[in-house]
Amino acid sequence: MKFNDINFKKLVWAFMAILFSISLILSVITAYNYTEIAKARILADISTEALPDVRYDSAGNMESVNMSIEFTINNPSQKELKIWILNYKGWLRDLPLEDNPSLSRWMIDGKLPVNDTEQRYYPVFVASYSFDTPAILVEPESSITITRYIELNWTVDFTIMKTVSDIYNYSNGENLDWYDYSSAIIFIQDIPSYSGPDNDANVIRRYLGIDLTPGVGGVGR
Amino acid sequence: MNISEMIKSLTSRDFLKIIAVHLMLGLFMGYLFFYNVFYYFSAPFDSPISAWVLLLSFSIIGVLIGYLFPDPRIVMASSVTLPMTGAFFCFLIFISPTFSTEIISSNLSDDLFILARLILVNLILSFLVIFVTSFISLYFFDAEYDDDDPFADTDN
Repeated sequence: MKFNDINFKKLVWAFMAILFSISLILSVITAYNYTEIAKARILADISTEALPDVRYDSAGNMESVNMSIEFTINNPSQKELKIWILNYKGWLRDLPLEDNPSLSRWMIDGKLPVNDTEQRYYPVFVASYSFDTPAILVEPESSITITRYIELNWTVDFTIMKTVSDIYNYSNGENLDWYDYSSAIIFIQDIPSYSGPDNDANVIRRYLGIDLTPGVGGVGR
Repeated sequence: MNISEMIKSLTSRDFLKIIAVHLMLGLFMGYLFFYNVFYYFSAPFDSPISAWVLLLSFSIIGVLIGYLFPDPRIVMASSVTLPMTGAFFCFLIFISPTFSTEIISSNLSDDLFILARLILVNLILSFLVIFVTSFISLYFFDAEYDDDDPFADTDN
């Protein structure tokens, strides 16, 4: 079979030129899309601001400790993100235990090395928030702030409240250090679930701080 | 063939034709490689590519090579160099986030090995399919070629 016809050869070249043009356009679009996904995975971040509010009754006894937590999720990419889970843990600096290591606690304190010393932190708050329905989305190139409140009082958890009250009384009501840890699991929209060699191409995990007491509970919600 | 003749043949119109075909089909192959491995990162489509579409694409490329270059030596070399050109374009797409000013580039040599491992099957498959289909098309198109001048214009 001979196919030396010039016109057919020109058709072949025209076909290749069209194929090249389409491939170039698709490659550029894919590269742009992949870059935005990479930006979301690398640059999306979370910041947390936790503000404790200690309240006393008229007799000067500690009544409650309210923690207000602001999670701010920043999305610098062109992809929409969906927040799935936000976790928060809060510890109170345990000065009585630092001064008297033989003191017993119902829950194990966390240890935080600071310079040449080891600070002890008592686990107070542990909260986990999931956002399935309704979904909370972070628009492209924007931030979103989610505020949550946790209240600790004598009714919610007597043991933890007693320990916190003892710690504050030991310091004569002075402001004590709180240590926070937060984490987030965020999904990139438009990417199918269970994608990629590790099935997590669409998942962004962020961690802020150190979990001083993994697996240890506290007051939540 | 002496050196001056070799240089003349390297800059000949037909050799430039080979380069042009490699660039055109290589980009297409590169996109196919990337899409086959990272379909969820691709756009505008994000569903997996079926195996028969991949095989058909490689077959078409093989047929085109066999038709355009009626020389078994060029066909054999192209069945190796075309997948390598495709891998190069695939690598360019793979490292495209590093061209963004907002992302600090990662270790490119690591990226190369990661990608090579992921597209290895595609490379081998494309080589085999192009090799077979290009020689089949050579036979069917009843190619005429000159042993002494592989770039001889056979259009006339």
